[in-house]
Amino acid sequence: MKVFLRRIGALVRLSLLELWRRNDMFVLLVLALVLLVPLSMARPFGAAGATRYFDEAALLLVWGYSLFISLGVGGRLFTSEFSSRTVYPLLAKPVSRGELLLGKYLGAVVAAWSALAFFYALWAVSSALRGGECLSACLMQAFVFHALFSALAVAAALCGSFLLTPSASTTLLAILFPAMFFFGRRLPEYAENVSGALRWLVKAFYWAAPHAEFFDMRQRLVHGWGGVDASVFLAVAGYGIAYSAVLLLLAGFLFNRKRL
Amino acid sequence: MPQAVSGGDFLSVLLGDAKQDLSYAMIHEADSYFHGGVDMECHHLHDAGHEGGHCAHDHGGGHADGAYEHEHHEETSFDPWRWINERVRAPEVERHLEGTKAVEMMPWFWAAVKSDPHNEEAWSTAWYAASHLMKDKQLALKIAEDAWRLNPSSMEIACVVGRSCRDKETFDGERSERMFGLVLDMGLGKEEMTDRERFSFAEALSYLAEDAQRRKDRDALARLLEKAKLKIPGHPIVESIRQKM
Repeated sequence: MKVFLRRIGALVRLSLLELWRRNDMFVLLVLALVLLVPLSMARPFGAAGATRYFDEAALLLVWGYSLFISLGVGGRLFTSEFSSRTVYPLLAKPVSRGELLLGKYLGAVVAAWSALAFFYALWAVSSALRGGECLSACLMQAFVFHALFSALAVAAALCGSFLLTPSASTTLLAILFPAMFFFGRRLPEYAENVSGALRWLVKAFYWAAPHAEFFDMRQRLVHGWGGVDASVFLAVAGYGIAYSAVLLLLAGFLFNRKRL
Repeated sequence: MPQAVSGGDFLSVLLGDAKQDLSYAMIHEADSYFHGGVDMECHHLHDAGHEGGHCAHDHGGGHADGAYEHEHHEETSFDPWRWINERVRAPEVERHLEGTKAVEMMPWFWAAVKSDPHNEEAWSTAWYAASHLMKDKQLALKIAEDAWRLNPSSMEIACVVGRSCRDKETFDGERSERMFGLVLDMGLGKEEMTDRERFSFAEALSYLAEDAQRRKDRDALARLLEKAKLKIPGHPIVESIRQKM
């Protein structure tokens, strides 16, 4: 067990280093500053004091960035190893395919979470500077939900990288997740407005597609509603963990069948 | 055939007629902010989903006990995804933005009028929020002035300026009367008025009749009555002016 954990730990450390060595994070940070600094100085009709629009815009950026990072790290996990053929020396060591997959997945998730924690910390500091609450139960819940979503997105990107080409998989997921994020809850209404096979298709999609919108606590955070009930928290957490586990199992199955 | 783009500003070129839709989407967002972040259309669509999805929302506290109800769908077929969505996205207590907090709506109104400077509804709702929710009469007058500068032929905006000039903090009786008179002139010059224009026409008549009654000016009241009977004969304002005489 100790050896297993040490191997996993090494893989996690590698993924973490890989993310922070890349310039992605700093580019995203500069982009955020370019977008948000002018927004923070806006005085609509000359009236000062509005902050919620800024909080909402900043959180939306955090969501966009975290999706970008999660899909990026998840999609790159094995494609780069295959293209540079570094997967062979990795597997030549006493590491099973399952351990390698789990280790690299956990590494990618930890890397995505570290980026997420960084962005949430910036948001919390910015909120505190404008007189808001720095740390609240709702913020903690929002972070946990968002972290679960990141784990799900990494699992989806990893699974997709075994099924499709990396660019096709990332593009598809970059459309699917935002579509579900913004329109997922309205799918039953769309289904009611179409007929025949399309209705069943929309309904099947509604039941099977990853509901990114479950993890979105922006409204609660921005408008000060407070956190969700324990039952809802557990339901969303359970959904995220179960969905990620299924995707990871599928990725494991595909990786084991892959001829190297 | 190539489409002509009205106006030469960047948004007109980029969005064309879609800027009007964008403007209304911004008003919708402001409305959602007024309800403490709840998208009333979606919220009610969820509640009324099985009745066809049409449900108008009211601002007068339609939820009698102040809490949102979740039970409706559980009576029919249980949908766990909907169950989660309703609980994550609906607050336990209904809240409205009031007082100075209503300033949170202003960025959305600003975006709405920037998207479409001729969206009279956006201007008048922004003015209402500033004047009646925030009670910032100076800000309200500024919004009314900006709106009037960009929409000099709008009865609704003229009426808004007239109302702003009647407020104690920004009082200008002469201008107020002039603006309401302008609303009547514009209305009389139109063959057909829209509902919003009819509302502005009646509102202007009401304020002018109030002033005339205070001055005990029966001739002015008689003239206003004639105008009312001519343009909006079945409107309650006709009877109201008659009673003032």
